[in-house]
Amino acid sequence: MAASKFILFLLLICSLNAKASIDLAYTTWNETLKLEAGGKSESAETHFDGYGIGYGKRFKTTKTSVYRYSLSAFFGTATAGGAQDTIIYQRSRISVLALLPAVQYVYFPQRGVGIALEAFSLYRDFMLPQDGVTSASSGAAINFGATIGARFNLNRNWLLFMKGGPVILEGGTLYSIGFQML
Amino acid sequence: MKFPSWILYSVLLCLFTLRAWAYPEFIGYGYATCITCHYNSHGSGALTDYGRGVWASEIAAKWLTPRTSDEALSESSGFLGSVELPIWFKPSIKYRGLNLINRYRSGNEDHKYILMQSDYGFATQFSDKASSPLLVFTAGHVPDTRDLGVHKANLYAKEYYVRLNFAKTWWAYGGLIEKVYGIRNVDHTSFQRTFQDFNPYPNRGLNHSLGVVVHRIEKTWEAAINGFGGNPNENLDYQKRGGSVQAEFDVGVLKRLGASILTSASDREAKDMAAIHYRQGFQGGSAFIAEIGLIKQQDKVVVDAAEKNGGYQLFQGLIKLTRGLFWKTTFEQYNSEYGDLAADNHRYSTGLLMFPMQRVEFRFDLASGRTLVDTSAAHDTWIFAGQVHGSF
Repeated sequence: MAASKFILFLLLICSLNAKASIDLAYTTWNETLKLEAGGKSESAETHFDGYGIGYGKRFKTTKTSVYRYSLSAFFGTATAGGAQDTIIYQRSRISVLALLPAVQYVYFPQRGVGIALEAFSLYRDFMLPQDGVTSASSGAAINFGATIGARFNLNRNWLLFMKGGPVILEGGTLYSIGFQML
Repeated sequence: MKFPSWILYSVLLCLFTLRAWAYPEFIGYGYATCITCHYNSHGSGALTDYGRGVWASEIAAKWLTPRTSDEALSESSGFLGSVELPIWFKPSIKYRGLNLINRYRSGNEDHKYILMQSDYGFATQFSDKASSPLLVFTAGHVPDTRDLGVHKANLYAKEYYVRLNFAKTWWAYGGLIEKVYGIRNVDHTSFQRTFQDFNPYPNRGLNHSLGVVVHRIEKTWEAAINGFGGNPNENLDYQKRGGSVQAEFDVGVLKRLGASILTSASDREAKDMAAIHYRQGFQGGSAFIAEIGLIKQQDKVVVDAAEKNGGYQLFQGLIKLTRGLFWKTTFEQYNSEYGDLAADNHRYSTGLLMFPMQRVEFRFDLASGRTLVDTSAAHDTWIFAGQVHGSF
């Protein structure tokens, strides 16, 4: 209920401001999972995937480009471990809430088509279950990254975007695909 | 339970003005149907003289021939350059080679050069009237089979069919022809082709099958029905028999929405599929394509094997950077079975598609695969591939 009110609030803001837009996206990224048990240590992997909603606004526009900032909330789950060799540790369906503020530069080589370069920060709220034997830590709670992506205007009100790029601190790669309501 | 992402995408895709082609991304050049450039009205296979001309004069770069006019390039685009061959003998040769690096930058890289395609064929028509019957024949090699344990790379009859334009907008085909379903994406390893039996390998679900296709092409829509009875290049128990229908219609300028259904079965497996697909071109040559589909399959070798209900989706964009050079980005997802325990396979790839001149294509792709499953978080797989394609 709170989520639907929040979405309605964003839609209202968007409808009042021609420079604003709402992003709806599926996002996945991975991080290095550090495991320690009985004096041994091992690296494994944590996967995150889920959906996000965001608000964005253009703050500078030229004939062939746009500068934009956005803030997205991510709701998803994580799966940690399971593919490592020595330390036994595997957890799944761990709830994750994350915020992703970003700045974007979009170049339009043709009308309706954009190439987007983005720098983002990633703040996530996520607790890896500990079992008293194994100490597990994943990536960094505050992280940074960059993506390159393609954007296609489907019509006057919607565009589709696909983007991917590295997550810098103990991270891997982030991909995202979604729609933007203009 | 994980919320299947195809539901969100299907719903959202249906909300928009939502079009299917030969080199499907070339809708961006404004060509509304594949028959403009290919003998096969659903695309793929040998190019017509017009198609060769379009490649030379619109798509390929002029880096090596900057002072030659587009018209002159088009006129010299034939099999023997500017020598015009008779309509009863239009030969073609295709070659594709792939330099593949599996587990890219993992410290355990696996390098391979794969002969993907070497095709030799011809098209014969008795007169230049559209209604004159056309015969197309292509012989090809099975792609590199080191990992497959199937046929040696011998030359075999890959495609042969007769085409009849029996009424103004009606076309019929009979012979060994590619099955009609979905978007004919050129990448056979795509999650939108490989799990749907559109492969180049015998006994892995070949894309061609002996059958009949009836295709109606109107200005703003087209529809086709296909009945097929298996490919003789596969062992009898792998040969799939069945049928398919496909339809597409314009929903805007350079926007076409379509749907496909296919049902097939062999002695080893039964497979039913349905998909919606969409293509959109942008003035200047860029394009976006999408396909979202469901697959129901049942293993017939295992006694009482349960049916599996899974699905796939493909989102692919081709952005023209300059004439002859495109940036391609693709997001794909495949589930063999929807459910809590089944793996959710993702692949994101990005790369360059380059036509430095007519007859030559280069592709460079960096692809990352991620398997999301509750039981394990495995490392991503990385593939770097460089491809050369010669088409004469």
